[in-house]
Amino acid sequence: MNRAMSLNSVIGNREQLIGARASSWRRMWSRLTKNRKALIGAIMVFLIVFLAVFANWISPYAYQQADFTSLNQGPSLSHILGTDSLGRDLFTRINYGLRSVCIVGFGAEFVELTVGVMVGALAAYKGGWVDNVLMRLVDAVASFPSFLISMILVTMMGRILPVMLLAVAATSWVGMARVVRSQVLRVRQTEYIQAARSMGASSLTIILRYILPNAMGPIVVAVSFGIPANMMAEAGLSLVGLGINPPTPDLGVMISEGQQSIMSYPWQLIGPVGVFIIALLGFTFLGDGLRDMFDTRSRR
Amino acid sequence: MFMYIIKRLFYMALAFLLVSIVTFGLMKAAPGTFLINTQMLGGVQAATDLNIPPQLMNSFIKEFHLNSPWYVQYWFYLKGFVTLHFGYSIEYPSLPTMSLIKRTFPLTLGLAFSATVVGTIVSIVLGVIAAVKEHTWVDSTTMFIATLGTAIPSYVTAIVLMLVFGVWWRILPILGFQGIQHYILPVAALVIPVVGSMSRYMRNSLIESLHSDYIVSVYAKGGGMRQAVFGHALRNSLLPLITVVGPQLAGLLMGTVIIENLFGLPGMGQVFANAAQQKDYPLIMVSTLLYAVVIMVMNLLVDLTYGGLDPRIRKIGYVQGR
Repeated sequence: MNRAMSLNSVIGNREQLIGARASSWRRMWSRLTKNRKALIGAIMVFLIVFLAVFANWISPYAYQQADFTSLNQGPSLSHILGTDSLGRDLFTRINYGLRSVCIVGFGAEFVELTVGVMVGALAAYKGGWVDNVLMRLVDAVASFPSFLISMILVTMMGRILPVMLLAVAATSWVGMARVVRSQVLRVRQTEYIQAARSMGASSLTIILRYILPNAMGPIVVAVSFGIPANMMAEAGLSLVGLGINPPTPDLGVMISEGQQSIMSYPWQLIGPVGVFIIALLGFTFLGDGLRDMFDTRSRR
Repeated sequence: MFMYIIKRLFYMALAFLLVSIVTFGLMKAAPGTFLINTQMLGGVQAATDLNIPPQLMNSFIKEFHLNSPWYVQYWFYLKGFVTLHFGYSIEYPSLPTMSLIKRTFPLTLGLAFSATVVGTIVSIVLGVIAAVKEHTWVDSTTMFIATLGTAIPSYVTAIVLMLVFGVWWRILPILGFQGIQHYILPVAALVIPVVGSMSRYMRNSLIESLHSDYIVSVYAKGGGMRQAVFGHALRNSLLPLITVVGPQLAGLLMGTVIIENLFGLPGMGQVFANAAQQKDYPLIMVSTLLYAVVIMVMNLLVDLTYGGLDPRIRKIGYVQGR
């Protein structure tokens, strides 16, 4: 009895040991797949990205192909989400529209991440007056009327995809800078950083090789919440009439066009809005799951 | 506390300068000057911009000092805003911008304010219900709906509300502004995202309070759940909620820009959106600064309220200069 118990505890320990020894990526993967919400989110995100990337192959029509014999139709076998006022297939246009939305969502997040990491890491690592100046700048930008600044940028520089991307990223990098700064401050005080410094590692090496990988968790979470926020900003710009120039299909522009004929043809709204909601929810669920995953306090 | 306020006001002034420089810089960086650009636009796009008579154009050149170098222009732009001499805009040449703002801004502020009040009350109620029923289906359902609320922006909620209440059930109007029923859907659309994030916050904050020692002593002295929540825990968990109201307000104000456009409400947001589409530079600059000032003042007020209500923050606040 006693022996069996001790054996059990040894086996239990051994399993835990294997768990601990498995590579950190594999551990994260298993934790991710155990978290149902994150898994559903990941599947939704995968679906959205898949539709966006392979829009040319999935879509049954070309996105600018107008069919004047079937205008403003509801869903049917030939047009599963209906057609718009020019007889263009909505499913096709949604796929291509997702492409624009994803480019802005991911692209702006990439810009935010680059700027945010540079500013945040520099501020936290240098400290002193550098930190003070940079963080005052961040505070000032955070109090900007962000959406209006984006609108002005798009007005000034034209309604094209790269401009939309920059306009969205222009004010939202401050959140990332704050996250990075707080993480770097936390990691900087640990002993292995002191050890690295005592061995003569340069500031750049320390930041890139030791601090950033250990500060990754909250940054990844911030990224997965940042992408849908960028998508929202981009669609919002379309809704106030500053969307991407036609004929490039864009989800926000489609929503804003559908909204104008909401009373007569609600189908033109339901498709784009539904897909947009799926995209936003996917990223949010994934972000929630990732937060649970990286949150060491809630680990069981 | 006094030093803290002075410091905050100083940073606010810096942020204000930065906003004005950024907007002014963007306007200058845009191709052409105010009037040439407008003419070009009129020639290419529509006839609406063509009917600027030469006298008016001269008066614009005089009013915005377009013959002077950029720093003179910037100075008069800033001075005009600070002394509340907003001048006229290109889009509404016969209406002073000041009275345009007076006519439209109350609606925007009213939308944001009512959404904040309703949102806060609903969040507190939902948060308390979820916290009291912690780890039951009530809790998880409320929190799932709250997640949906946070994930979906106000204008998408607005469209869903329009579809349900305006198109299918036809019980609420989706366009227009005469009568109280026109404001139900816009406010609801603005409230739902606020409730999403704030009720989650309220729940977590209340649960934290309910698990602390002083609540145990309430139970030990024979108090019930009701007394623990309403007599002790709620007051302490309401305080941190104030800190999230600030960022929510800024987001709400930006949300009104889109919501006003969707529902056709004649607020400041619609004025700004039109100005941006028409490239009406004077109006864009004035309204951007106005929004910036409102957001900053709201944030300051929220922080001061928090500092004033929580003695711990008050003390640490002015020692560390937070």
